[in-house]
Amino acid sequence: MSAIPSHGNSGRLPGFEETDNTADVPGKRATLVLHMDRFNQVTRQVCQVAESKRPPFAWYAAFAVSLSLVGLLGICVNYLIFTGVGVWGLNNPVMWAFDITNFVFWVGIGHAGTLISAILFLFRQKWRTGINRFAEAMTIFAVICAGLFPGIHVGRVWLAYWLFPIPNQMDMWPQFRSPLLWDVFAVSTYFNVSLLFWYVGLIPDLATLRDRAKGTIQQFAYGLFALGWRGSNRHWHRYERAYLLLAALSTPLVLSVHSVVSFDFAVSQLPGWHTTIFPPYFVAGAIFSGFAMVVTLAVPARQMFGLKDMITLRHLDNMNKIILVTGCMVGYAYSMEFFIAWYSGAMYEKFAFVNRAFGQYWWAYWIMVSCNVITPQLFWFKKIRTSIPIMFALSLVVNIGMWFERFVIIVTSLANDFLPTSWDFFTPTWVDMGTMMGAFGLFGTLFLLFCRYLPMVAIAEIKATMPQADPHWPGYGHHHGAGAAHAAHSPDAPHAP
Amino acid sequence: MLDGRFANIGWMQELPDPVTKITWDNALLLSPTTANRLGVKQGAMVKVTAGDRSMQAAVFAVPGMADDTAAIALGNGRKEVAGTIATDAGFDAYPMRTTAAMGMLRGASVQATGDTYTFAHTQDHGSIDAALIPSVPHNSVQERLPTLVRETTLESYRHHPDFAEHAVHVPHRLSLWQEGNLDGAQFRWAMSVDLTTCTGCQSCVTACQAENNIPIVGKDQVKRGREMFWIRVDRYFRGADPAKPDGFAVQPLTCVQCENAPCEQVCPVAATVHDSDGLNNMVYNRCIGTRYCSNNCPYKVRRFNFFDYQRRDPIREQQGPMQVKPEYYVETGPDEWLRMQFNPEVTVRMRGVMEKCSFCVQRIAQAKIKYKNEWAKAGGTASGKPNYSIPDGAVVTACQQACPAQAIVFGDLNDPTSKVSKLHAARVSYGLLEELNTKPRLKYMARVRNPGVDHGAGGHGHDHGSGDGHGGHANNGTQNGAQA
Repeated sequence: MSAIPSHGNSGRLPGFEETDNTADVPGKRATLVLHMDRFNQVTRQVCQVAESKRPPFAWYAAFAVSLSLVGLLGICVNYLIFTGVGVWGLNNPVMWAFDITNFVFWVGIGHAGTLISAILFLFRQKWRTGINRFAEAMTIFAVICAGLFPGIHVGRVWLAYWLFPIPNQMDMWPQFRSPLLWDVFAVSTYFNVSLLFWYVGLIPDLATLRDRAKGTIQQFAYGLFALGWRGSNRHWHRYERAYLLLAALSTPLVLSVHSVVSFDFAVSQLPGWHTTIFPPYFVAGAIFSGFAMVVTLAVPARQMFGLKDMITLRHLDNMNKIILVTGCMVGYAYSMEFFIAWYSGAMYEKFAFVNRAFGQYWWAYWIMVSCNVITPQLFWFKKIRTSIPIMFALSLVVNIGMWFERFVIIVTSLANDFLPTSWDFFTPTWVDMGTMMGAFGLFGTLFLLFCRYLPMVAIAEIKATMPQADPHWPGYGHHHGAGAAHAAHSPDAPHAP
Repeated sequence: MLDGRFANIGWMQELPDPVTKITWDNALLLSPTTANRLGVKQGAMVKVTAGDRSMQAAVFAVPGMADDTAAIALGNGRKEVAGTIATDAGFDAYPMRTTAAMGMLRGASVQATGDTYTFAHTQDHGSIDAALIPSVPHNSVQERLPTLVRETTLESYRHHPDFAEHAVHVPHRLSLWQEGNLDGAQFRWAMSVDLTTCTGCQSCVTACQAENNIPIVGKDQVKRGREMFWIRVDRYFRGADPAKPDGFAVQPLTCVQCENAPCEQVCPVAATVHDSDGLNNMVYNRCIGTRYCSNNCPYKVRRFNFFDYQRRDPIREQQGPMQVKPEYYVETGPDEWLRMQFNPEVTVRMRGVMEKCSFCVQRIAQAKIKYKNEWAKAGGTASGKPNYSIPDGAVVTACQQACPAQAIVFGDLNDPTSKVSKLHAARVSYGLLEELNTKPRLKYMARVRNPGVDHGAGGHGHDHGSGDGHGGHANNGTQNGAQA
């Protein structure tokens, strides 16, 4: 097997130093957990974050910023609800702008989590174990942010529950032909399944935290949510089945949710929205933005909490490859949209796309193209894929680009539609900006709390990817590495090729 | 405004100028060529001087103006205590007016002061300089204009009476949905608008506002593009050069009451639905304000209550959007009489709901009640079916009632002898954007013009159907002093 130092490097701060494990050795599995040969090293490394007396200073700084933005969000949302949707910059043709842009943006961000946890699980991509936990957490928090916007953007918020098919005295159902209603079902299903999937995966790790906890509150809290997990063989069996089933349930959701979100646009007849390419294009874009957000979060998190041996450079390199691939898909979609608009021969369709690139919002279009299509091409170079500062910057660029993509689709199409006499220009107000930043604050706050109190890496799962989890591991003869708090479970034990 | 005596009427202030579409202000109108030569942009403040008299006003370059000529409407810009609405609305042109020539002034000069002013207009938002700079959108407007406002000359019409049918060619009209079946309906209300006789005066707009309890929203909201008119009069300049248009077209537009309405398909709570007469109705009580219907409306005739406009003080500019004065709804107090201005037949809409033209459904209902009662009294109930009829012309919409050119006709398509049936059957009758399979109930009679011989000299738009149609605009020309 791979060369893992069998004893800890003295003088090395575990988890805080970069090791390049991106080289591929033919015939050998790449090492995914570095500098560890004992399972309890993993446990200790992950749990120390939740168990430490106080988190690093950077955590406090980030938390203060995020929490302040949540305050801003509260102000903006209250102002909106008490005054009217007019506090946003919306106008007559542009009835949706930042609200739905942010909604689609956050739903898109949410996609990487389920892709990593479900699809990569079914495809037996073991490197997912390093990042799946916090990518799933990111998904849940992103969907919370996404769900906020359709909720508050309606004119009469207090009646928004009419969107749900609740039996009522009016004897009215929602209108099932409306894509907005499909959205309600798609997003709420997605949220519930993601939350369940995340929680089920957390149970063994919560039990670990419970067992290690020294304070009564921690013991109670972790114990409550660990649901009496004892790590018995039967528990593991049930757990594996449930996890597999949930993965199978989530997999179609990865594709369906953003397809349904894209129906909001594709089903309408507005030029620039009424486009059959939208479902696959939106899914590719969602995975693109989701992975960019995972990189944006992983880079500081692994630095802050010393997880570099588990979220290794190889993980980041893999994600950057996915960003490159999906970025190319998105670029293909952009050009195909133009081609179809021209090929359709439809006057309004052609104008919608020419106007995107050269009309009053040309700058937004070109920000989108340069951020989503041009700059990700740098990831063809391995040096760039493995350079922490550059990949961090590029991931931010992709996030910006994908926000602008939604803005371009929504606002440019609405602002200049069929009748030139109703054309207008959308200008955001401070409430638009505040709500958008506030949503980032909400996301950040939830994510930072997650980092502080829950295991950021799937402890049980990642152990299974270590060579020591393989019953045929040569080291067993003289070294009992499996003496960690939990028996290393190996659902698909690596019978090494 | 006439001479200014009507300047304190909110409806007058918010009614857009028929050509510039400016609300709440008047402007010093220049031709785009002259504005470019003077180096002033839209909204630039200028000082107009003639002898020892001078005034300041903001410039609005409007295609079709004669070069080296400036014009401004009287009646705005009242400084004295004129009321909350009139005070400071626009610019006062009276200082330039002398008894020597009441409506005319020669030898004035125009100089930019360097300040700028923001107009609130209901068209050309975001392309404020469209008149000055040819652009992608302008070219596209010209491309689609022949299909939107179909017109021809009398000469050509004699040879091609079917010209309006061929403006757009649509091979297939397929529906994603099973369309609502309106066969066998007792009534099929419809409207016809004659583009040949419409002058663009916009009295329909104010009539509709009065009938349907439509609020004025103030200058700041118009600037944001939130005017609430249920009927609007679209204005187009025709021609490749935006500064020198070949023609001018107006087109009144209400909700066209699509039989196959895009708005209905996307509303998640079924707040906009068809009734059996084929009307596309808004159910205000059911509307939660997702605004999706407006996004999917190709005509953009839907209006959203971004604030509680009915409760807000109808002054020119609100101090921030927060200001909401619930004065109309107080049970007692000095302003109770304000509530009496509302038409009791029409719901007053609250914030957060969408609204739009209803084809004056309250007037239809009144007519139905009247004729159904007569029918019942005459023993019609014996048949068991409500087979009463409403005579043609018994339902008159507010816009139709106010139209001085009688360009708007309303009636029942089920009655083959009704005027609207005959007009809809005419060859020049066409539906706006009907290629989208919306099946509009509002149809236009394409415009047939009989232009005179152009004698060359002046050369600018000879086709001003509406120039001065409304509200007593007095053109107070200044002339010739423009310094290059």
